[in-house]
Amino acid sequence: MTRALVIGYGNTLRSDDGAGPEAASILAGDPRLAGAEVLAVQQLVPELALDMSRASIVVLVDASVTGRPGEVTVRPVVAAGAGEMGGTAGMAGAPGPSSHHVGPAELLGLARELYGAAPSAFVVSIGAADLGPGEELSPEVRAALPRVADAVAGLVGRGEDAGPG
Amino acid sequence: MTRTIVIDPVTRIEGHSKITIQLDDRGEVVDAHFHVTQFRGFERITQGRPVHEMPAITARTCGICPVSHMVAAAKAVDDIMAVEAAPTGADLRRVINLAQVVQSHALSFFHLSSPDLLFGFDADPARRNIIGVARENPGLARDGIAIRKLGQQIIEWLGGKRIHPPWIVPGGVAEPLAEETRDRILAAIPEAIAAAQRAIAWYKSDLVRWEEEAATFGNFRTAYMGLVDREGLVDLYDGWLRVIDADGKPLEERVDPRRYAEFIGEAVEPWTYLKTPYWKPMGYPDGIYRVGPLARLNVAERTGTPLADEELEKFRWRIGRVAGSSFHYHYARLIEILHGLERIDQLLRGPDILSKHVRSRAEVNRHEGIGVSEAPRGTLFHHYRVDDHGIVEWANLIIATGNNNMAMNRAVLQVARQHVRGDRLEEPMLNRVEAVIRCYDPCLSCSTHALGQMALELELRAPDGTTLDTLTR
Repeated sequence: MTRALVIGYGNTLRSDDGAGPEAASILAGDPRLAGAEVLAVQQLVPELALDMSRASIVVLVDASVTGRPGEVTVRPVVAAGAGEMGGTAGMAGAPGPSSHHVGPAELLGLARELYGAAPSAFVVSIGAADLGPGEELSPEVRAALPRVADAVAGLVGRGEDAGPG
Repeated sequence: MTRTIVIDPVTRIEGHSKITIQLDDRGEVVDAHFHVTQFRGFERITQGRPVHEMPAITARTCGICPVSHMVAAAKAVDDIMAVEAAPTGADLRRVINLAQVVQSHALSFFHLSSPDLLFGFDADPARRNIIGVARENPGLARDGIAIRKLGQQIIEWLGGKRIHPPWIVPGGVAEPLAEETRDRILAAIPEAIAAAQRAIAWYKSDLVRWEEEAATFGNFRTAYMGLVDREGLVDLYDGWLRVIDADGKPLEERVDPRRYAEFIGEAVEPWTYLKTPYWKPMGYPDGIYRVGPLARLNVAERTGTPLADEELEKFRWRIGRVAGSSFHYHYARLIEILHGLERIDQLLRGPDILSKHVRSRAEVNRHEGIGVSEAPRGTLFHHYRVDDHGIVEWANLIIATGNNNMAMNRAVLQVARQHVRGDRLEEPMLNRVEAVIRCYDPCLSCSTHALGQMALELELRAPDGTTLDTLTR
């Protein structure tokens, strides 16, 4: 039986980078997400592809360096193919993602290639103010967490209404 | 005029690093350095902290092997308390340490190195990645995910969470094992063993293809070090240090790990933050030794579990009693995955594994303690000194990756000599230099205790020090 999967990820020792795990801990108790699986992880790793393949909808929550501090944005994820891996700066044709860290598109691509299922997936990003060492979120990011919860609950609600992707 | 090549940064390893390759007047490689450019200083950060916090603090050294640091730290605090961990607590520490090794080795082999092994070092990088593996050999990719997931799940089920589990404590573990958890793990082991066996069968079928490459892939004479038990079998949690030379002759048959400082020196080089341990009786830099899965299989008589021992026998039949090429770290890693799964199964079937007594309790009874265990990448040393109140005054950590520092540098030099031609850097050469480092699966976050992401630069230098070419991942 498929269900919604929410993954908050980031390093809780790097201030606002811990926004994803913090959001996940809040969302785990949110009644609007009753029945959803909520994970808090340090970073995205390949084995999450298996969890994703079993979900009806996947919502990833992460801090972002591109948005304004506290800005919440939602974007859909498109599954990557082999030729779309990596793309790290500085060298054309660099091989796949470094170390154990893969991105949302690569994970979705793995779910599709290995398990034949690529559910609809979204990234909810929170603009970071401070990524220095520390365990506290900035006031801007902390204030954004209720909006993150609303965005995730909205996506999951719509996804479950529509049935498995 | 000498010239230098710099690779900056190395991808698919943990941390951040840079490689410089020095050319002479004739354009031949004369030297190469693997620079680790991050600095953290956990040995200083921990000063002034209560020693009982050390397992939790030092676990933050790394997001990949926090369990290994917790185990070594907890053992060092056991030593300071002058107690032995409760026997069941020690066995449960063994289980979680093995799960750490299984998941880390699965990450290294299936996710980081299998693209090179499946497609070859000269293959198009657009294909040579984990999604490429998923397309070409989905069974291999699924097996890798399944093994790693089980390792992570065991850590989570035992420790309460996957990263930095608070379960390993001085004196043993915080909570006894629930029967339901034991049964859940035991039920999952057979399929993981089958997956590991499939991976070994695939690797063996492909090994002949790599014989020529392996001959110059970090293939040189060094000593090897690892922990063994009373019978000389692989022991990833405890035991004695055994050190052998390149021919398999024991340099030290059985050293109490608490005496490590008599045998291991730590050199410091100006071009890297990574310390350079060496075998003191042979001096620096002659005292080069290797640790990790290949070294453990080289120093041990056997692994002590039947399926892994069967594979080890085949390994030795094909490669020799002492495997010298770093390429064979991959093969050794697969055998250790199999051993780890079998050993977890054995331990969980022990008659006392569900005992409620899992923790010995004591106060500070000594001013100094040493804890040594085997992390996925090799032997890990934690050494603390504390005051009367148990406050840490001094700490020394020798990290698995650090032990391999000299060997990694020599491996890079060998590969560069084999593959660098002219004054330009090209992708297959770059990937080979990176790949030989990946054989050691270095975790630079741990070994420099560094913050942040890993990356690599490669720089080619002329005899006068000018940069001829650079590549950056």
